[in-house]
Order: sequence, then structure tokens, then C-alpha cells
Amino acid sequence: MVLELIKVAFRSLKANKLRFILSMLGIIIGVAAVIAIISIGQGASQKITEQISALGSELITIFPGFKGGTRGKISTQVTNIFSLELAEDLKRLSPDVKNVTAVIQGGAYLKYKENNMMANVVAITPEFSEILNVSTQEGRFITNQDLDEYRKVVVLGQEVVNELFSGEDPLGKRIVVQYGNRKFMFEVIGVLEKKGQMMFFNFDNQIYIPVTTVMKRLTGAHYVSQYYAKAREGKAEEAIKQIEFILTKRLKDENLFKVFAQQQVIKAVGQATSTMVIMLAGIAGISLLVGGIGIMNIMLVSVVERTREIGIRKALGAKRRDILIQFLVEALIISFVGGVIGLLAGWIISAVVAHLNNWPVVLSPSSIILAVGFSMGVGLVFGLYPARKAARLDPVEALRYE
Amino acid sequence: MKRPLFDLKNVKKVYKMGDVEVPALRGINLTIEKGEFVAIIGHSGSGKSTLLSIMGCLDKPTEGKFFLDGEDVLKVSDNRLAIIRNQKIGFVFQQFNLLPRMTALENVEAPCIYAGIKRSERIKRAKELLERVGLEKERFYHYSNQLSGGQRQKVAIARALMNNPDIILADEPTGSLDTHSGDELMKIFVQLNEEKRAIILVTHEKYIADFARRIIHLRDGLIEGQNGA
Repeated sequence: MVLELIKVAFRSLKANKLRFILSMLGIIIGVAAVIAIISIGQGASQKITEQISALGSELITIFPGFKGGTRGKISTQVTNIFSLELAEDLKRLSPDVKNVTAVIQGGAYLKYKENNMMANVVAITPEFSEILNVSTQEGRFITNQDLDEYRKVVVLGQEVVNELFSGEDPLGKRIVVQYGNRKFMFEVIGVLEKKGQMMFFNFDNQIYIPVTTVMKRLTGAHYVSQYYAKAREGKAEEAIKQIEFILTKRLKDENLFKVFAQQQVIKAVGQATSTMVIMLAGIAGISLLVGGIGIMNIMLVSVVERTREIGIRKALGAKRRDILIQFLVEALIISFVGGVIGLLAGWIISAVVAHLNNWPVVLSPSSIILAVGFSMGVGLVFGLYPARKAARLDPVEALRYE
Repeated sequence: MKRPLFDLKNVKKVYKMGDVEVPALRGINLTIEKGEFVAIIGHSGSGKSTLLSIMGCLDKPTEGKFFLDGEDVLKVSDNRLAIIRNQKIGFVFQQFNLLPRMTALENVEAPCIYAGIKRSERIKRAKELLERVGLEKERFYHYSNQLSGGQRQKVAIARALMNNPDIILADEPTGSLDTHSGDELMKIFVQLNEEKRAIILVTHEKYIADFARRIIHLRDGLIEGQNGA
């Protein structure tokens, strides 16, 4: 019986192909938008999470805090607290901290022969390599000896090599580093393996020099700009507590520093993207609703047009329920077929976007069920009124309808 | 006790057109027994189509009583009326009223779909009936708009017979046909009547009414006279 009704519904939809397609359009666009947004959002957040995890979930970042800012004073970042000795102490005193590196970030103007460029300078200790999972592809990384002797040696990122050396072997070459308004000659001792963009920095367009060289030779600073620490496997939370404890004891003020764990960042990013996705999907959902109104519109027209057919069917013994189901099935077919086409379209869109951004195509079964289910729900809700109208037609009047 | 097939008592029907009330039937008393062949004849506006609609349970009178096969059909549910139309009555209309976008065979099947009869059985019965009313086999799968008027009316009759009803109600069945097709159709009606089916036929043509064994004259919503029976 229902099978027959589906057949009849398909017939009448086939008889009005253009109208069928137009009435599906709203649903197609709505479902495609919802699917694409959810899939793109999930893909992006997965990609970001991957990037962050690639840095290691045991990574802990320690920044200086801000002071002042009360009573009309401008707050300034604390710069005179993070010494190299403190970094050593952190490593020594916290049982769950595996390693600590002190870092100074800055910018420099680089020159080799005719080539020149701007690059980020990261002044580091040898532990940086282990903490941030970076290693050299050629040559060697910065060693303790480099630090002890304040050597003017540099490890280059891949992009810097490409731009500065244009095919030449950089190892052993001397480049000019203009730091502030002073120039220094640095010897290239290594090239970092290609690492790409990770979170906030791009390892490939930076150069790495010993932190002591910056402090003693370049600027004379006594403090570094931040620490990176690595906790022991699975001990990130304990390590953070220990670091906070030690720093509070030493600095007597817990506002002078900030400790971030990578995991917190992953969580925060995940929450931010999912909030965004929910909001956008909600907006896309509205277009689904509009699509539903489109279905209702078409179905109402269809009911009026087929008044006579409804009258004939009633004369042949169709019950109200039979007519109701017939039109409801039609609305459901529109919304189902529209939903499936929209699903495919959304999948294609998200696959293209994922491909362009080099992240995974995520199409979770739950979002498929949600989108198709919701579109069919829309079809049901907006198909019900026209179908009821059809079912309640008076047989005699319907038969007389021209 | 023998109960009549149709038993109408003082049936009135008033149409409301805004504030104006237009009486279509002004008190019809009529009984028709099983297996009768009755023609209702009258000018247009005499109320004959309204009467047929009420007898076919498509419409309800404004006043009066109506028993169909002993059942007070004015007091039953819409669903029951649908079942009565489906099981007891076969309709034949002047405009054929075939279902659009469906083949001759599918049109004939339709009443059985609503009766819930399974497909193989339906198709078998529909083919038999189409053959019986004399539709050429190659036309079975033609859509209704590919058939001539005579062919369409044959399909309509086959469809009316699908659930083997006791009653055939025909509203000007020959009105859209040429004389030859009309004669052919009337012969089928005579045959059906010979099978003890009651035929109630509305027409304004004396010549068609003469096929019936009883003729009821309707004028301005009242029975003016009867002959036969």
C-alpha cells in the first residue's frame, strides 16, 4: 500500500520535474551548507589539534606576566625576572619537569652576498631541540659549548636557506645578522629539517642562535623573554603545579608569570571551533527551514492543481488517511532526495576545502544522520499542512473542480 | 424482511451561495431494490447529479434520511463512507475521470489498492475486466491521455467493477461519447444489470434512459413521475 503511494508520488514528481527540482533546491542548499560547515569545522579543528599535538602535549610555555596598570598606569610586561639560572633551577627542583629551555625572541635583518631578508631570531639553549621536537637536517644544532663561549653561530630554518642561499650549500658560510642597529657575522652550523607551521610559529622562517650570544654580545640583557619546559610523559599537570610553586616562591608574586600547557590550548581551540561550527551550522539550518517553507508552498499548489484527482481517488474509496499519506510521501521524497543531494554537494565542498587546506575530510555519521534526518523532519512538518488540506477536501466539490 | 438497496426519505439538499440558499433537492422519496436498472432523467439543474452524489455517498443531504442496503449512511464516519464507496459502489462519470499519469491498467487497479488487495491479484482482475469491456490488449499500458473517449469510458467501467460492487452509479456516461461508443457502453450496462447489479444512470437523453427498466423524472428537485417498474 505505502509502496503504491510512493510509486504514485514519484510519478507526479516526475511529471513536474522542474518544479520538483526547484522545491528541492532550498533543502539541497540547506543540507549542503550544514554538512560543509560541520565537516570543514571538524577538519580544521582536527588539523589544529594535530599541529598542537605535534609540538608534544607535554610542552609547557612560561611567559612573564604584566605589572602595573592600576591607578591609570599603563601595564607593562615584566622583563626582568626570567634568568638563565632560574631556568636551571626549574629543571632541577621540579621532579616532573624533564627539561627547560630559555628563549629570547627577536627580529633581525639577514644578509648573504646580494641576498637579504627579515627573519625571526630565536635565541635558545640546546634543550630547545628536544623540547620542541626539532632537529637539524644538515650540520649540527647549538651545543652547550656554543653557549659557554658565546659563539656567533646560527642554525637556519628551511625557508631562510632557500631565500638567502638560492641553491648554495649554507654550511660553514658566514652571514650578516643586523640586530637592532648593530651588525654581526654569524657562521651557519646547521639547517633545521622542514617542520612547517605549528601553532603560533613557523619553524622554517626563523633562525636559531645561542641565547648567551644574544645576552653577552648582541644586547647585554640579563633576562630571557620566556621559557619552554617539557614535562615527563603524562605528567603535564603535576609539572605545571611544580613550576607555579617554584616561581611563586622565588618571585613572591604569582602575577609576574603565566604558565600555559599545550593541553589547555588544545582544549581552548577545540571549544572555540566547536562554538563557531555550532553557530554557523545554526545559520545554515535556517536555510533548511526556508527550504521547508518552499516545500510547503509547492505542495499547496500541487494540492490545488490536483483537486480533481483527489476527488476521483475519494470516489474510488480512498480514505482521508490514504490521501494524507500520498501527499506526505511526496513531501518526504522531495526532502529526502534533496537531503541526499545536499549531502553529496556538502561532502564535495568540504572535500575540496579540505584538499586545498591540506587537512583531513571529516564527515561523521552523526552529521549525516542529523542533516538528512532534519531535512526529512522539515519535509514532514511542512508537508503535513498541505497533505491535511488534501485529505479533508470534500469529494463532490473536488470532483467538480475544473 | 426484504430491505431495499436505496431508501431515501424526504431528502433535501440546499446549497448556500453566500447569503442565497439554492435548493437542489426539495424532498425526494425513493426506494430502489437490488438489481434494478434505473434511469434518472431531467433537465440540467433538476438536481439529478446532486441526487446521484448523495446516493453515491459523496455528498450528504441537508435534511432527510438515507439508508443504503439498510445502513444509515448519514450517521457513519468518513472512513466507513470511503469503504462503502470502495466496496459497494462503482462510479462512471461523464468526464471519465481517469487518474492522470497512470496507464489504463493502473487506473483499473486503483480501487483494489485502496481495498488492500495484493498486486498480482489486482493485475489479474484488472486485465480480465479490461478484456471484458472490450479494450484492446495493446491499449492496457497506454496512459489515459493516449486513449479515445470510448476507450476511456471502457477503462472507467472496468475500474468501477474492480471490487465487484452491487451498485453502478453513472452520471451522464454517454455525454462525452459519439453514438456508436454510447451504444456499445449501454450494451455493457445492460449486461451488468443482467448480472444482478443495480444500475442507476443519470441522463438527459430519453434515448439513453430507454435502456433502463424504470425511469424517474426529476424536475426542480422533485420527482415528477416514474414509468416502468
